[in-house]
Amino acid sequence: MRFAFNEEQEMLRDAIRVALQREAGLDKIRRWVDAADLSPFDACAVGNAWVGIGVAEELGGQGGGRVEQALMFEELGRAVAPSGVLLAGAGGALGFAVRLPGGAEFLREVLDGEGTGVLCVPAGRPADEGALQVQVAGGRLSGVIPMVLEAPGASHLLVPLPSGDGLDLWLVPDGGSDVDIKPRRMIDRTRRFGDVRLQQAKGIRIGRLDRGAAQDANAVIALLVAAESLGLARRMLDMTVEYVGQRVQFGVPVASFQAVKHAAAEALVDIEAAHSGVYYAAWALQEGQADGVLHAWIAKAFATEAAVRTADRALLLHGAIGYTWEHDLQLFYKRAKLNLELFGSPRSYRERMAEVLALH
Amino acid sequence: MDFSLNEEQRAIEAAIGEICDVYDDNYWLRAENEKRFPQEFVDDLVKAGWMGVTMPQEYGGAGLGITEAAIIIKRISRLGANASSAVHINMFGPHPVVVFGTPEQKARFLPPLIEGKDRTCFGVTEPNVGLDTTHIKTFAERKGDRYVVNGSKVWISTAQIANKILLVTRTTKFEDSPRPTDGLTLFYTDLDRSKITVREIPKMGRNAVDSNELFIDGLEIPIEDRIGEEGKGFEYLLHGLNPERVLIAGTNIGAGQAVIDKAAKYARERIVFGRPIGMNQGIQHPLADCWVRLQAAETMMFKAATLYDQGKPCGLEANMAKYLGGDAYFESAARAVRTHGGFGYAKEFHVERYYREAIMGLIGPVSHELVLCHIAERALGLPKSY
Repeated sequence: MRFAFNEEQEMLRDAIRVALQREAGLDKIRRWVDAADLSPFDACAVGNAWVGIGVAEELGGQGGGRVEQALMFEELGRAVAPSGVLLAGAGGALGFAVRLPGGAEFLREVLDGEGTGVLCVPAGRPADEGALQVQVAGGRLSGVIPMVLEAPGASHLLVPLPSGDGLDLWLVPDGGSDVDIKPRRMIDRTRRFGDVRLQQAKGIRIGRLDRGAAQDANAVIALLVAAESLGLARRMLDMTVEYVGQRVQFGVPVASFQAVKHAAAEALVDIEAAHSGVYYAAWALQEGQADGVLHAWIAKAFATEAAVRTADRALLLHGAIGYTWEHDLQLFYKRAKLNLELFGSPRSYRERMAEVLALH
Repeated sequence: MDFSLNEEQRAIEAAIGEICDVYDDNYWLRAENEKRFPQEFVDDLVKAGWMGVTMPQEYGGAGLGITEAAIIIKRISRLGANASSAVHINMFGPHPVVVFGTPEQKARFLPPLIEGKDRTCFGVTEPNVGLDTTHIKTFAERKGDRYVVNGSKVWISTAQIANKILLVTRTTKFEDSPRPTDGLTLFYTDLDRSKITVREIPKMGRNAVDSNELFIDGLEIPIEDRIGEEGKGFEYLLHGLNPERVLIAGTNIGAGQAVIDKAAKYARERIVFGRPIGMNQGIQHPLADCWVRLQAAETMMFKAATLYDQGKPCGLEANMAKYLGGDAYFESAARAVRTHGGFGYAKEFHVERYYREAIMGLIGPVSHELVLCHIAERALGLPKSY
């Protein structure tokens, strides 16, 4: 058993971290957020070829597997980068399409290097539940999919429709009057969401995923959200440790109080446990282990909760300054809360785990 | 609103304290180790007339309320569960006799209890029944002027030494009763050892006071030992539940306060790295947290007791007091052991004894889960979930 990243993985992580510091620092993110335009980050993600990490080279990607993808998302979290495009596109739409024979190639052809395809599912539920409120008749789709990540600005929607025990994958181009996307304003303004209304929208059925394949595809998304939350938590703890070392009360840094240092130490325990869960799940999914999906669920449930606990501790230890708009903690805090629910709450994954445990 | 004890209540607490102070930690450690009933302690309380504290004055009692009873049991419980369990049943268990007994029965039953000549135990629950009391199986069959009882009981404290038993039976089978709560009947009678086999249950703590399983085979009870009407026993039991919860809260709060006092004393005196360990926030904050919780539980307990003594409904408050008290004690006992470090595990520092006893506060006489069910239904209007 060897629990370490190899040299290549460490180089990849460092390269992403440096690029994010250079091209997507907190000052820039604040400017994008204030302008309500996250597209500069999309260009950054394309320019650095991050959309291709975890995508096979023969499909035009950069290679690497789930561990590399998780490493990238941990860094994205650490930078609180507007990573939605990578999650809904490369992780979501492509992650689903790639499980069909020729699916990834087809998607690439349709998008033609220009467009963005996003996975069109309600963001609050596991993605393998599909778009529950959509009906299809004569090749046309009708219904509402609330809160779709990255829907505003997408050129194509990949809509998974529940069918029997699996999901039919439909590709619907945006742009016509039959697709209406209403942007939603979120508390976390580093993510774009929109409600999608399809009215007899013309779609192409590109194939079908059985239940197992759909669960596999969702497990990757769950893993990536977990990895991102891990990165958020690490950065929040770093910020907190720095702050409590500087803040002086009663003539000493508040970090010298046990009540403060123990809280920080407990956050680290949470983070390291999340780290182990995330990377074990990444490895297991990559290697096709039988328990890979289960461990992705565990990682999603645990790491997103650990990040929320860390966010609460960080806010408490920062005192009132952490509550202000000018302090960067708020960006991470809000993302951590959003990631808790994104693509399935811990509760929804625990329900699945309980089924695996054969409780009754 | 007045949160202070009156002069009489303070005097009661002080008088009980004088008796309790005679029996130090080493007395209770020996009683626990030797599994020896603390008879001297009980005798002292009897001599001072405390057994009849809530019983009517005309039968030799003091006629005081549940508030006073809570003050007494809280003070006694500082000594641990061996002390409180040794007297609890005789002080408060005969409540149904006090409330529902005839004058003849009260005159026959109460004075010997108050004088310490009679010692009773309380037989309610049964194996496989738990808190689902209406499903008890022990059956009393009427034969002329007597009943003949067969069945079994479990977790009956002090049955090794008791000569009386307050016994709950069915006189109509569950399936023949119009309502589940009908058909239970209450007796207060002699514990006839020729018909009742008492088997002690080895257990983790509170070893000076025995807990037992009872096997009842053909016990004959004269009709004059029946309390109240036939078939109404469940109602009589319900009547005693709220005061029981208040007193159990007092039991846990008293023991919790004592164990936190021990921990704080140790934390003040124990020097590591050149200073008392109590100077560490990691030590003092948890103790302060426990103290806060115990105080909150105590306030709730007195609220419940006050309501009861005023004849007002107190079901929620009594259950909340029991919940808060049990929780606070359990956490306090665990913290006290941890504050002592390795010595907390040694019997000579006494806190491990409280630790072993504290988990009872989460289980008996009603589990915390079931308290939450009660609160959910009665305070929040949520549907019954069990």
